[in-house]
Amino acid sequence: MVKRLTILWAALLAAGCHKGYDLDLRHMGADAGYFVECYCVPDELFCLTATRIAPIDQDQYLDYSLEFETWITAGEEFRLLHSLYHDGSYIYNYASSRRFDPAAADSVRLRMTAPDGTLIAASTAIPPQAELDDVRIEAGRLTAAYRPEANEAEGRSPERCFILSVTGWGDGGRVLSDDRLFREYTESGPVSQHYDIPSEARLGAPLDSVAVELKRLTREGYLYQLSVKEAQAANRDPLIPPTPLHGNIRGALGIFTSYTCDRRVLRLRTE
Amino acid sequence: MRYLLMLALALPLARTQAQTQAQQADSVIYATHEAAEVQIAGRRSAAAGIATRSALERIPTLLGEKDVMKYLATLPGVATTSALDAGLYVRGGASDENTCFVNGSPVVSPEHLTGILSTFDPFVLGRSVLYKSGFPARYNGSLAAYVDLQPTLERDSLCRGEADLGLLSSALRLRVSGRGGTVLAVSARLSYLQLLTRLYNRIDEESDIPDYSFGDVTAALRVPLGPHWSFDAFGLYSADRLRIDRGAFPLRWQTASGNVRFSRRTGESRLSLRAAFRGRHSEGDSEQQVTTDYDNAERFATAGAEYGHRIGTGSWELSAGAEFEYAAFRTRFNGRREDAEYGLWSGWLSARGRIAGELHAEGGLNLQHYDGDGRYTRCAPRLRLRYSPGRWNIWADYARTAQYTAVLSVMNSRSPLDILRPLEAGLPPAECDQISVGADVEAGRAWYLYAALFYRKMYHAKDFGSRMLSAETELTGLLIDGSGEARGVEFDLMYDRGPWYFRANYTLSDSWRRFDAVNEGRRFRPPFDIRHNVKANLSWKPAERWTLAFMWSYQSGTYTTFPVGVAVAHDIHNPQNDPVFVPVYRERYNFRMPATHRLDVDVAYTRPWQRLALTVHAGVYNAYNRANASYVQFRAESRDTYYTRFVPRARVLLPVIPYLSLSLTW
Repeated sequence: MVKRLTILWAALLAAGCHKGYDLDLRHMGADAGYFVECYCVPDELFCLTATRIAPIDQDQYLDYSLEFETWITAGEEFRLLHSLYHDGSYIYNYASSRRFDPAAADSVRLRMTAPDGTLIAASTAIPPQAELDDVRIEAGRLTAAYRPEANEAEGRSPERCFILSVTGWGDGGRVLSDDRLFREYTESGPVSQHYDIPSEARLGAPLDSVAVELKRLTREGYLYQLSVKEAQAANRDPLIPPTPLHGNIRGALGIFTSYTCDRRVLRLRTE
Repeated sequence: MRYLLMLALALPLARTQAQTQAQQADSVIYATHEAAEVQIAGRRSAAAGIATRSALERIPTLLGEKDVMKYLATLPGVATTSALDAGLYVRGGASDENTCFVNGSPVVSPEHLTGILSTFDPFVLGRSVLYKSGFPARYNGSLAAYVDLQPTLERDSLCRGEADLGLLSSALRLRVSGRGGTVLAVSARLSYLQLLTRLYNRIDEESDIPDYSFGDVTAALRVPLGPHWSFDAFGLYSADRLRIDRGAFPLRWQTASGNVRFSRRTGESRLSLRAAFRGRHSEGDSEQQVTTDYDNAERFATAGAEYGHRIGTGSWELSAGAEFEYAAFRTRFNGRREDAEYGLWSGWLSARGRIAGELHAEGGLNLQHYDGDGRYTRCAPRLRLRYSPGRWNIWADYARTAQYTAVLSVMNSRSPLDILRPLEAGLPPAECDQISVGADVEAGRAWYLYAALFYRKMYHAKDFGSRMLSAETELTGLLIDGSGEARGVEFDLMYDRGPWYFRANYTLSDSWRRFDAVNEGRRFRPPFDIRHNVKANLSWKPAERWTLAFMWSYQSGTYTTFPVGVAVAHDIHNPQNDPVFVPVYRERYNFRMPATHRLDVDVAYTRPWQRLALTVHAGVYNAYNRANASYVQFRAESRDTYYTRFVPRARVLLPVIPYLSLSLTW
């Protein structure tokens, strides 16, 4: 009797399961405005993306056709041209043939005029050059050593914000990808970040090489990255409270910032 | 199997057969410790919550679990928001704007995961009065409502007990009477679902069923100390633990409340001296979520005294009291401490009695001085007039209340992990002026009708400017100041005769808040703005041992926060620099969810056997399987090759759930 009741209870539960249903979006509020994103990376071309944020209740498509007047000042002012630029993975709709020379200025400024006349402006400091001292893998654990104070100007102690990315390659493809966004409070190094490499069984292929990148961000860039993670988490997890994007651009959402990068590649297997 | 276990995790079987009795709110009551139960004089006052002796037996509740707070949620003017939120929302107020009292001292609500598990055990706390308006002068510190929970300590038998054994938890309850009228009631509950989930996760490596366990102990003691004096003590401790993602995200929280009270009662006067402690502690640690480790503790110590005296021919009572509360808040976020504390002095005077004929009045004044990160003195007048010709009861009341704390939600809805914060420098306490008018009548021998209007105006209402809790979050400076209003009308109809009981109530309410730092200073509807709230309860006892109960409830959808758009951003974490979609949240509470409604059915059969009684509850929660949305996730859908649309998909946490529960009493 108990077994039959249990089976009946389970069957009723299973029958009652809902997969959910779609909600009808209407009248979601005011126009979300423009989104501008630009990372000034030393020795790389100035590239920028400027689009209008598509309302949530409409089809999402990347509209790179909007005409902005876009100027950057890094030592001297120059204009970014409107076209499509592809760096192999990401598309920008404004770029310049100039490369960013961090020695030319202490800060970089952005000035834009949107098609409807909205003025958009931002400025960013340039973080010190990120520098990895040593990267090694021992007993399945990767250790990346660095000095937080490396390359900082004397007398200045800017906030130390980093991204550590670990990418593993095997069987001709990427089998491992992980990253860590953090703020370093240690006054001076050496400091190490550790990462446990998953087993070959979990990766599905042996690792041929591991690339480690250490990026150093400005505080604004760090807060922006945090808010992006939070917004994405809120979309995935109903328990995470939704939060607005952090940004440093007046007149638009997004970020205008700079970061420096150091990269090491460890070859684990040779042909 | 996995899904069933997950449902079982969220829906424990806990049962109680405790009797619950209401306490009238609008009469002076002197209960001596010799009385078997409190004698109720005067009319039912719908300004306070009504829970009759058999009220809890007449409503079906989830999986047969009876709970005083769940019954209070069926009253007019009281709402709940979702299955994930255990709080009560009274007349457009937030759930953190309520205070619960036991023996006259505030206690912490021992919130367990979701609103399904019971909070206060009615075996020990069998009487309750919910004050929605017309607050006695001694109550202050919360804007919306006060719940007076009273221990059930009648000497009706030498030993009474209950043993509940369920799928997910078990409970043991005892009430013993000793010499001289001493009564002790103890209840202990413990879950063991975590044993099943751990076993299942160990067998299936891909499984990540949350590992949740809880336990609580409640005790109340009354010791008569002679003909006029008595000693009361109360204690409650609860502990919960939740491990998500195979233990990568452990969360723990505990609550503890304890109080003692010495009371002296004669025919003319009453005196009470009390001391109390309450506290909450929560902590979590994760490297996989944006929120990293935190440790939060809130501790309160309270001491007070109150004296009341009848004057004249005994139709009037004057009372006065004083209380001091010390509060300490200890919060650690990623190694950074953000501690705070305050002292709160309170004093009150009140008078109540009959003015002339059927006209009664109650007036008072509550004075508070807050000394924390800022000093404030607040005066809260109270006035209540009641006219009771024949079977009618017509009243009007005014009350001002103040609140010195605000709750920061760690998650998207209220949870036991929320952080309570005191006022910050430059931010005065929140205050609320409330006016309520109403009438009720006992028509014939079986009918009862009630109607009331309320209006609440809030000043310096509190909220938090940012909900993002990360390594960069500093709690100090997040608190913001604003305003709010709530108004509404309530109707209640009850029929109670013989084996039939029917009750239906409807509340129409409108609540808004406004903060300069939120939604660009525009008014918005908070998530507890429930426009239409309907409840209908039918109970039938066809025979002595049988009870059938039906409860249908309808609520307008709550407001939630949706993104206003989507931005395509550059993922610089990934060396491949892939693009990522980022939802853009700009406005809070910009989308109203669909209305929710459901039907719960319960059949109870009690079989006595010698000195024991076995009760079987069989029922169905959400009998017609209404898909009430619990939360929403956005899903990307490709359209016409080049376009993508983000579609909000409502997820249902609680579909139809049949249940069976057993309880043994003696």
